[in-house]
Amino acid sequence: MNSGKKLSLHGMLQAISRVKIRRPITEEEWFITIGGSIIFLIFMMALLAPFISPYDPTIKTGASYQPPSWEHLMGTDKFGRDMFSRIIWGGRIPLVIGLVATIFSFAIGVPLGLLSGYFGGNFDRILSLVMDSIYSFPGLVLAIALAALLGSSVVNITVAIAVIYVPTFFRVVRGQVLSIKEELYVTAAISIGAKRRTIIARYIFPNTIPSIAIVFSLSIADAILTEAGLSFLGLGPVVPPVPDWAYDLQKWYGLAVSQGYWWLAFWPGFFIMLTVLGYSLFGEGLNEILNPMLREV
Amino acid sequence: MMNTKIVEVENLRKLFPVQKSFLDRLLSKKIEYVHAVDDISFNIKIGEVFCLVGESGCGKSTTGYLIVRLLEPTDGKIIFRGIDITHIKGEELRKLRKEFQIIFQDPYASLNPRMKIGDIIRHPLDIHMIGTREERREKVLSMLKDVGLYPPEQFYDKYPHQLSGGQRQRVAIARVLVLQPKFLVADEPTSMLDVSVQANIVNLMMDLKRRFNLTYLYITHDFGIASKICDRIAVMYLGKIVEIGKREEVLGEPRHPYTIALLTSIPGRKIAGKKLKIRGEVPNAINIPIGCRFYARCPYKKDICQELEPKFTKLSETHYVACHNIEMIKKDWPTLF
Amino acid sequence: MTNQELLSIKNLSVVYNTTRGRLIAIDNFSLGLSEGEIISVVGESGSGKSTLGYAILRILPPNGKIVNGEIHFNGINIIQLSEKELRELRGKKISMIFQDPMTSLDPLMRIGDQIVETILEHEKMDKEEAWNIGANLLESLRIDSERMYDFPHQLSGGMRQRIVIALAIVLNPKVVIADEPTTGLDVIVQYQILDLLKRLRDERKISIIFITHDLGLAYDISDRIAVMYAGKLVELAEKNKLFDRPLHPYTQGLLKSIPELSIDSKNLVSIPGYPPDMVTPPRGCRFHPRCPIAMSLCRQKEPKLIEVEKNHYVRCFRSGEVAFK
Repeated sequence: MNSGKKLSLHGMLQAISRVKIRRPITEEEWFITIGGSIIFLIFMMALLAPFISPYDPTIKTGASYQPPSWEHLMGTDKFGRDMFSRIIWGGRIPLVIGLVATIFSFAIGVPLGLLSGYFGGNFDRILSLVMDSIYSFPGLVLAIALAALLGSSVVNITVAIAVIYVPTFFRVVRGQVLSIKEELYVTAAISIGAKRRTIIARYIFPNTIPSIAIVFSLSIADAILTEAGLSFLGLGPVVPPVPDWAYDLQKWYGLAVSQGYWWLAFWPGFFIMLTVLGYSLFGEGLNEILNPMLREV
Repeated sequence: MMNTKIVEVENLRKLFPVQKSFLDRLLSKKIEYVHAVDDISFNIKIGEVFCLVGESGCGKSTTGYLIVRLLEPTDGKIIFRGIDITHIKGEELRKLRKEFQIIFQDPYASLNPRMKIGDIIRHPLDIHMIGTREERREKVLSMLKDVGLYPPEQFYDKYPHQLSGGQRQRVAIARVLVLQPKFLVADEPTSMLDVSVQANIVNLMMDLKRRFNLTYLYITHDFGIASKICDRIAVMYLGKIVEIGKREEVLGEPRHPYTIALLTSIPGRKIAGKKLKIRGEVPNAINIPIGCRFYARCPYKKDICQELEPKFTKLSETHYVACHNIEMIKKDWPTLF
Repeated sequence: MTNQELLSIKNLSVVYNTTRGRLIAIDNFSLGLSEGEIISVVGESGSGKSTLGYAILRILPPNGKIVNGEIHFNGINIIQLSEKELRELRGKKISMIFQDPMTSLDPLMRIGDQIVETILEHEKMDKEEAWNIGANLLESLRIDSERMYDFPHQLSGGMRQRIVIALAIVLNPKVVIADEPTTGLDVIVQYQILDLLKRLRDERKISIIFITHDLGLAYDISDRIAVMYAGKLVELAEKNKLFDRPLHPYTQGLLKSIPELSIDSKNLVSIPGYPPDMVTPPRGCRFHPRCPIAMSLCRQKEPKLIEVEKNHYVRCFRSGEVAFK
């Protein structure tokens, strides 16, 4: 399966490098570039937090409710904590939960989708029914229910979010498999005596990768929003004073509105939006670029 | 006596159930079938090129798919080198696939877009675990040379979309030949290629046939190509063989009106001045008429044709025609050349 | 070429901007079509033959552009027409038949309604009148007018193409461009379609540009044949002349590579190599990499189209020498 992944990356790079020849960059390529840059910068920010954050985000480092200044670039909160440092540190939890939860969904949804689509029959029917019923719940509602059921630790929230996105991967992969298995090159593989295992691993899976990559990126965006939603509703995984964007947002938005302390709610909200935008742009860009290329191939 | 037949097909049938709407299923109408291949028999001798000719929907490709067991026969028997392969399954079938192979019509769809050319051709060797890593690579390179893709090292690392249709079809041929099969089904391998490239591919296939001692079932709608390569021809119409015989017999003295119509509608300058024009189009193969399947379109039809399906009339040891009106046709079309 | 040309194309060049670079699909192409004449444009994939049809009707895809030349129809230059004037022209003066009939038919509309709609777009009359015109037209094409009540999916491939032809001529155009109208149809049905097209010419004096990859078909239907290779017109002649005495090595190769039905010969001739990649076409004569009689001049200079004998045009330095046996 590794070779398949390599192939698709190669194909992507090829697609990107090929279009660089004698042509202005298109909208989709801007999407990918901007989205990718945003994701990269935010990740770097969270990763390098100990080095770039000016203050400890959990202790008082100034007066309460200071508007942005050179000292406190994004102002301070009620407890005199530096908002800029809280923003830098506060990305860690949503980013990790978004990524890890999506990887889990991927790891469960993709194999199930492959098997279900390829073998069909009752196995497929039952699995599709289960997945569809999960899918039909609004994501946040399901997450709330699971979080309430499991209790809201980081691990539990990750699990809850992972469960929500399994059907997304499952449905996309299954749909792809249904059409790919009718392709002539799959028939050709049967005719040279390939085993079913080989057919799934080398012929079907690699051809689903472009769709998976797109879903992956869009699911992370969605997962981050769901995490934010949970935190906002007070079901988040974070125990104060640990910084978390969504937690800060829900904690201060009332004050921001009533007292005009806009910076308290603006910055957390802005960064949640920026991250989601980054992943969405990246996913949309991939979608535009990979799908026509596949059609051409 | 040694068996000179590589493939024997006896009373082969393939019916596909017709997809029905939900409403029809509720009303539980009886299941209808497309009679794709309906009771055909023929055999292919070792070393010959056997052409199956007909229009789209006549069942010629289905026949090819059935013989290499990509489809499950509904009825009848397929014997390959003396072994009944009609219903073999699983590992047994998978191992036997080495011996009979198929080249598909569409070279744009038959190669995995995510595999390099070298991997595509090597893959059959991997699957059947033939040779060491090094040997496999060598084999692939020499195969690339054999099918005329020079320099082979360069093609090894390319992807299918970087190749033209003709080159892709060469890759498809190479993929099939690395397994050293005895028998090949060629399902219209040139019909999607440019005319100037077609002959290259056909000539290559004939060349490889001599070098590797192959036997071909060549499926085509193009009588021109068939006339250049085949030893024997079978003409199919609506799932049935209507005429079968040696090349000279079917081309020179065709006796089924459908064969004559096909032969004389080939565009370009005519072999004989006149044409046998027939009306209409191939009907669907769901409601098969009782009598002759060609009745509705036949210019030579008689009353009996509507009631009785014609059986094969033997014109020579090798030439058989399924028609009630051979005498009349003989008078009108003594010879085509 | 004669004086009463109905459609005349002069020095036409069409360019596509692709992801891989600029591609000259048609390069300096000239051709004249007289009233009631059928000309076949023959070529392989990438020859520019289909682009020619799109260019005449000005329906090139968004990345395609006419960069040079004139297309005169009845004295007006099509290249200079506005979009509104073009709509008047398309269908009414010049119409097109596409390879896949389903691209021209609306799957959700009855055949009759589609015909009526086409008529009403250009003519002022009531629906019933238009319906009658449609029914009469089908009858005159020897199609059962009951077909007016059918949906496209209820028809066979050949019948669909016949309906498309009817749609193309319902407004009495002078010129019909037929882009591979029989590809995908069986030989017998193909013949029926050719017969129908010939009847349009004989009975309605419609001129036809028949675009095809099949020289045999071209011979059967046309008066003159134009052979294109890699965007260039390489040979143009009356069909019998072209078949008897092809002067361009490509035409010779193409003629030889038709697998002609015969009992005596098992010889299949082919042109070596593949049609060129049009983003990076070969220098000099574009056919030289595949030409058995190419000389060093062919690799450097591009030959001009010359009239070697009356009404027989060839683009080759060595025209008339035999390349393919």
